[in-house]
Amino acid sequence: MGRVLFACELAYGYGRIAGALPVAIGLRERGHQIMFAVRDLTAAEWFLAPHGLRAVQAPIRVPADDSLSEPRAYSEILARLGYLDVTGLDGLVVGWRTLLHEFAPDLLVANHSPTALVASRGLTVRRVVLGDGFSSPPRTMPLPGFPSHADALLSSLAETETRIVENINAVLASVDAPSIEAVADLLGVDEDFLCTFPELDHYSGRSAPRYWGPLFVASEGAIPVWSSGGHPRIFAYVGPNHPQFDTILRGLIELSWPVLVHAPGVASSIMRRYRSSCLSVAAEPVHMARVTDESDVVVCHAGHGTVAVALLGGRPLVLFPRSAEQTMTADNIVRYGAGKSVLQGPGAPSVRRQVQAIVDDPRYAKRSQEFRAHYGAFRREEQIQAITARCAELLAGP
Amino acid sequence: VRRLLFAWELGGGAGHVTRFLPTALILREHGHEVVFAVRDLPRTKVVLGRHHLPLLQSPMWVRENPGLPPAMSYPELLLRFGYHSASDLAAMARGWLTLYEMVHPDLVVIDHGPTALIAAMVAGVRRATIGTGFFIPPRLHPMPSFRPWLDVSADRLQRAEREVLDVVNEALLALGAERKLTVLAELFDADEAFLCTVPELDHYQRADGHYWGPAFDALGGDEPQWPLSEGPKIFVYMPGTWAGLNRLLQELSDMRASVLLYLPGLALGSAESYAGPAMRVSARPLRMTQVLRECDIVVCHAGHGTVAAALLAGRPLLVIPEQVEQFLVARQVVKLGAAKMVNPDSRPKFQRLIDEILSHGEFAEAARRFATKYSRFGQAEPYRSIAERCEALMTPATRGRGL
Repeated sequence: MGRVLFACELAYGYGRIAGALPVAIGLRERGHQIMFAVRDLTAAEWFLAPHGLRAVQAPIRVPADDSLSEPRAYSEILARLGYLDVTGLDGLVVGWRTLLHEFAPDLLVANHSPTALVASRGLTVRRVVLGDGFSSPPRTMPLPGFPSHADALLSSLAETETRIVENINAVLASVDAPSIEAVADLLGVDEDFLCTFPELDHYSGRSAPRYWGPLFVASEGAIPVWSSGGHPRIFAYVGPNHPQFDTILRGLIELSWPVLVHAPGVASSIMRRYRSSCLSVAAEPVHMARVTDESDVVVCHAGHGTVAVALLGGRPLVLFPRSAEQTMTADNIVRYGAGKSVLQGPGAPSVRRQVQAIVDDPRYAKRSQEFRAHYGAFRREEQIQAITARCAELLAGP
Repeated sequence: VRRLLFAWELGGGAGHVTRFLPTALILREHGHEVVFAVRDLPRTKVVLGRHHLPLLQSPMWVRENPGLPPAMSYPELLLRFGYHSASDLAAMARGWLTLYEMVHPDLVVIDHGPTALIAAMVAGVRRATIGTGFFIPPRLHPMPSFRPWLDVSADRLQRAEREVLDVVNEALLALGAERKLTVLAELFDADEAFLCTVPELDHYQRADGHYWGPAFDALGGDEPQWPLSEGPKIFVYMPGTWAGLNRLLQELSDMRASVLLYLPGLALGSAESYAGPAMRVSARPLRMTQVLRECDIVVCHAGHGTVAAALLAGRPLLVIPEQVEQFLVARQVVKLGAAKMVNPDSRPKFQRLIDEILSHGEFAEAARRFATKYSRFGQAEPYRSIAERCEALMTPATRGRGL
């Protein structure tokens, strides 16, 4: 049977690892051997270890280069990863190539893992891309800017891309691997599992995309315990390092509605600051399907997986995006009408008032119910089955 | 053919890799396979240069534990790297366990790798520690302060030891280990400890150390090209990101000297702006044996490897420590009489300090005494001895020590 390496190089938080989990389990059930390479092993401990799935550290640049500004395109993500410096890239590629040599996978599942895609060029391993629209940009040359940065100068993106392509080719040449003409060539793989819906796609204007449906884990984690039985109930998924963490929590407490906060990995010393009879806190993952079902509104960063679970459950959203990727998803939700991004900064109404306004306005709930009805036929088991079947085909292939 | 995994988990710079590189090359020549798992892949790739060794990424804790005061002891250091949480520690240790399963080493040689040590214990993999004194602390309980000039309370040391010990034991339980540690220093129990220093350069005062001698790679790197100017030859090895760099370079450019600088991590393009007729800058490693043979003085931040290499070549130093680990080495070499130390927080007169060291022969004299005393180190030793011991440990005659 085959060996499959799941590469999660850029998985901040646990969304991508959790999303890939059912696919990994599905492939293991078919008799394949699975290995993960992840950026954050802590997330692996939560989601993979309980299933006996193994993980190694993905190659990572230390210290991170924080001197560059927020990325405005996929190529600028690569710049932040160190692709503007050929020695930096060289080191990461060597790390991936050793891993590919030692584990010797027959299939590489690249889950937002550009350097694994660079390193695997010219090797016999079959390769797929698995993930949301953000990790699989339309294959243009140069790659497009993020829609939220439509004003980014195409010429500056093209210039960055040219430098990156030069560096990638220098590294590829040193290991006798085939060169690329554009960053898009990196994403030229045996299958592109574009795991989202058109409404949630980070990019628009793809030519003939096949949408495989969003990836998420709905049934791992603890069953929610609410502080009291009243309604409306709020489920809030807020990272403890969100710049507005304190404002968001205090705003939610002011509403005096039952609120369940999932703050991954938050220290109990921090949560002691937010004692309230209406608040319960989960530092470890919660059962997303259940908690969504039991809540009336979902507050989150606009991570793709959380948003998908909420909408498939017909729940409106209150969004606090903090990265370009999340802003793109939040913009999609706002366009669809199933939620709102919370305004921040001076002059903005309080968090309490903004959340209250969204809950009080029936249009948001109505739109999220429409989303749920529209995708009523979507079955996660069938999606996972289809993805694993296609992977199995590639594993069996010539 | 046996397999050896070299594991570097914590700390920065090139010293961890260069310490073991000469030994790794001997072992490879003897037909063994050597795999490196390292914290900093790009830096390692540069340091290895023409030597192509398989490199893997060491497990890392990528989160933050903000608001901690400066570390006073090894346990307090560990609190900065995920050792406040048993689940985070178990996650990293499991990363090492998976690496061991994949690489299947006959021996792991661990440089500044507490979590690699924990995983080796759990897996029963044969293991050796390697490092300067700082990375192989003495077996004391609680683990001692590494800032002996500060009055650190016994209570504080005890508390940190207890907190970290509890987390380690909880993680061991989660990983299915059968035994717990009774004191944290048991972390360093290994089949061998390659304490790569000499008593004069040890970060800790210890009674029972077996010293293997300083280890560093002096043969790799580019051939040095000194500027053709009059005056003493000054070799500078500082991080290219060091905040005081501009001031130092300013003063050096006013000196009648030939200055060669190795500034790793220097921003692209800045090397040219510093270069002049009397000053040459390299962002790539230089062949240290030759540089040291040719120079009159070494200016560095007192990394153990550079200091040891300079002393073994009989060269005096001006040391500018940045971290506690470097400060401890700096203190020792000042005690030897072979260096002057700069307090980087003061406004030091680099030029005057360098002149003093060069004009007073006793600094160079002290360095030469060290070189004579330890003349057995620097070329084939201690690498040959370490390689020999590694080979003995890799033979399957006895089982590795588990927990």
